[in-house]
Amino acid sequence: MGDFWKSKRFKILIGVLVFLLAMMLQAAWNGGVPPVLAQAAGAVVTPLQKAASFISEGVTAHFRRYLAADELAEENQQLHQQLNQLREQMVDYERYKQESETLRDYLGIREEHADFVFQPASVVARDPNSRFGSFTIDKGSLAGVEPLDPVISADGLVGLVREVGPNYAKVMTILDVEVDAGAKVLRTQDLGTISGDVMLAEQGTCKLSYLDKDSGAAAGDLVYTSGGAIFPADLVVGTILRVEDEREGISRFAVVQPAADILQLTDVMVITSFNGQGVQGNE
Amino acid sequence: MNEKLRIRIAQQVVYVLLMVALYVLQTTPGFLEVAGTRPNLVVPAAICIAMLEGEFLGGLYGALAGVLCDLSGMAIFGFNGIILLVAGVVAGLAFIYLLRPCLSNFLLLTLGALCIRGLLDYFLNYYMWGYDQVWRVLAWEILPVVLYTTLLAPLPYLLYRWVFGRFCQLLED
Repeated sequence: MGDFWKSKRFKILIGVLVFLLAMMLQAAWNGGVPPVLAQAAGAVVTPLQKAASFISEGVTAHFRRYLAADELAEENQQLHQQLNQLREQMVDYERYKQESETLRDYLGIREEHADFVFQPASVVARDPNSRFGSFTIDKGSLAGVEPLDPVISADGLVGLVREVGPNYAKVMTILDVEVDAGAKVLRTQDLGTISGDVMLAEQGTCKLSYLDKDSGAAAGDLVYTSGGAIFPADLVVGTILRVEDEREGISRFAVVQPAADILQLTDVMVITSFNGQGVQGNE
Repeated sequence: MNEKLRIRIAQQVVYVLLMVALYVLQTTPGFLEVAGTRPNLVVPAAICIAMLEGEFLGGLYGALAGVLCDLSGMAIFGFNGIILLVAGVVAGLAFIYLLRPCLSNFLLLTLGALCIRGLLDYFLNYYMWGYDQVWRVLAWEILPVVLYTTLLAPLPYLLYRWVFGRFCQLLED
């Protein structure tokens, strides 16, 4: 083994190690902008991930279609033949209908917030080493996406962009313990902070902290963003499931069910610009 | 360029392409997902290359596997690259000097590499920040990935062994 430590091969490996350390330091220094090596690698693999994601969705839809056909056959054998012929058309119809509803929802958000600039994106990767529902989208700096841009779905707030490459971006969700967003309870106008919690994230829920001890917030209340430098105001966050006292007893917190189905998202919108973005530091 | 060198280069290209393909598969939403857990297939791939090719290529492919993990993971870029480079070198040396290159030893080293990667991830990215109930990340997120990946590790093992065998045959011919 002694020969290995003195060999040229060992020196090359040390060189690679030092290079990776340098990349790590550069990544830490630049914050949301990954090193050139990562950007180059991301530019190559993101189209592949996009294709794999597309194929995966297609295969899933295919199997779902057949499961649906089995159920229909049990329910009505006489219509089975006819259903088989119409199934292809139905799948297309349902897809278009869903897309149309989604776009209508986005249009609603757009009409309510004329200052928003949207960038639609698809979820192309969910890494096995990532937690709290984080994912990679197929739009990056070339499409105007920047670190800390808010990410939403047609249903509500999803999270924010953490890191941006040329054709991809990593998104951390509101289930993540690192995310803090100013929020308010619509009915009572109580202010708090939406953040992730390790235990709640397992159930796909998040936490509205720092509610006043006398807060009247209750289960069923809607939670919206209160607005700030990172998140615009009046985006739907979710619905309160329950309200509890904090351990210290000086404030209360609410468990919030996000309106967006964060763990199953396939399409999102990045808000690349809104009035007040980056102006103050509420979050 | 002689024929042997050409075959060796082709072999490395195939290794890289397979590694990228495994990475794309492991990050495809919903693919091989069981109860929200996805396997980290590039780690066993790197350990398998270390077993077949030795510590030098093991280290390089470990670094490649780590860089791929860093691409879509939320840890700082380079975190996985450095850990898996070291894991690849150690695995390569272990197979040269200590262990017989077989499936059981491969699984043992894969489990070891995944555990070390997972524990470092846990301590550096979660535990030391003092989040509430942080042990749950280890118990319900990291360990399931380690176990599920080890369970599926024979797939990249068989794949790389087969490719290695084919190229060895070509070199002999």
